[in-house]
Amino acid sequence: MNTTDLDGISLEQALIDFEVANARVIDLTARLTSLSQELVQAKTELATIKLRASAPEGSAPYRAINVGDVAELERLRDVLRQVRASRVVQVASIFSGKLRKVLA
Amino acid sequence: MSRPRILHCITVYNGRAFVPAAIESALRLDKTDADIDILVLDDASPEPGWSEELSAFCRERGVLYYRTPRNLGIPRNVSLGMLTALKRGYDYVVISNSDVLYPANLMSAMLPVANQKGVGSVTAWSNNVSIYSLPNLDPNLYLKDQGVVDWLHVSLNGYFGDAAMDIPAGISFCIMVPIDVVKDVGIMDPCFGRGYCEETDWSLRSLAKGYRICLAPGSFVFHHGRGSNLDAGIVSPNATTVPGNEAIIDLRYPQFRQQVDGFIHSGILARAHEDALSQIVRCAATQFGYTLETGAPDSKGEDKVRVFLSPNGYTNSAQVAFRGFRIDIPFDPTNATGSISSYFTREPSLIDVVENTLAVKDARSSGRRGVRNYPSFI
Repeated sequence: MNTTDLDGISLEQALIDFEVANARVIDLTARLTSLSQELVQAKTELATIKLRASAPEGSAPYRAINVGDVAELERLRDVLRQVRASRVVQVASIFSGKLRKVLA
Repeated sequence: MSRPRILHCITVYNGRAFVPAAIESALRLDKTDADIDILVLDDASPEPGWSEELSAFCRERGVLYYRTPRNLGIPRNVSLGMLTALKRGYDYVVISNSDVLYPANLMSAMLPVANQKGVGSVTAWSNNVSIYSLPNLDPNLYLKDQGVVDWLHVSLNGYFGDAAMDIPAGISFCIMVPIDVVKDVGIMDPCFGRGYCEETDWSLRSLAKGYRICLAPGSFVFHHGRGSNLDAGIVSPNATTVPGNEAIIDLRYPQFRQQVDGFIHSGILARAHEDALSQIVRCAATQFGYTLETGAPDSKGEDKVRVFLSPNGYTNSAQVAFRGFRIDIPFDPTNATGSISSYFTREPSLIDVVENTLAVKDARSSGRRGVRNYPSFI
């Protein structure tokens, strides 16, 4: 049917196109991975900012979620440990499956 | 120096209704200035029996024909043409759609433009060449004729000659590229899939390498437009482009849209349109004569040059109608014959100004003065 044979040229270019396409897929996958990480990080920062905005200024949660206020965070953790260790909570946990799960 | 060799590629996808006319038109291309081979690149047209028919048609006429084993899409089919020209030692490659009619002297007009310093591509002028289109009321009705295309080309070439108009991007409906530029810039990017915007990307790549993107106003190729793309389902009947491909252009060339707007608002294009239309009607009037009439242009007698004067005689412009082209020309109401004749540099062949137009009758019956009666001046 063909009056001229371009199969060779076409095939050679198809192979080059394949290599180019493959290189682009690799490049785009790397960019996608990197951008996904950036997206997760940005979403976390956004959530933190929203949380900070919703907590009353000066309150314990406000101070806790402020990245630099490690002492306040540690104090809150200590309070939690004391609550968990209290006799009342431990006795209650014997009778409450839900409380046991919280303490676990 | 040996004569330049041109590979004239016509990309085909279906198009039984218009492809043979395009090939016949290409076979008429004048070979005085270059050796021209015509290559039909059939992108695996799915229409039953069409490829066999087209192959036989090409074989009978000594046209190179190649059908790809599977559909490549426009960008890769165009690239195949560019690579074939490169590998087979041609000096220039022309990439063309298949819904076109070429003037016989096309190459004599395109080559001198392509040979100018720094030119990377030359797009022919047309009725349908994106924003550069010569405005016409109905090109398919008034311009789709080989004789008309030849005549328009000669007329425009007589005025614009080898002029090269720098444009923001080339259009591959009929574009000539020197092979050295293909070597340097490369071929079409296959990321444009089945097509649209690939030539914009290519020409902007050529621009980045320092080449000029030019339009040859001294040429005219009739382009029906979107024939193959509609057939291929690349664009829907009401769409003119592919949004996904435009998004790629926007991403790669964020300034491109502003550059196009800047070009449009520069006035260069409007001036070129005005000059072209003026040249067309002047040439036609010189060759075929013209008539003077009153009223608004109608669609009758588009094969003649008709100059329409305002019925009340107070408008200082007249409208010229010819084959779907319309242009307002300067006109002095106090010297109708003189001003029109000086524009066309000849007297009208027929004055068909009806003395009893409604406006004149109305003025006379009401006793008003001031409504001019053209015959009294002519």
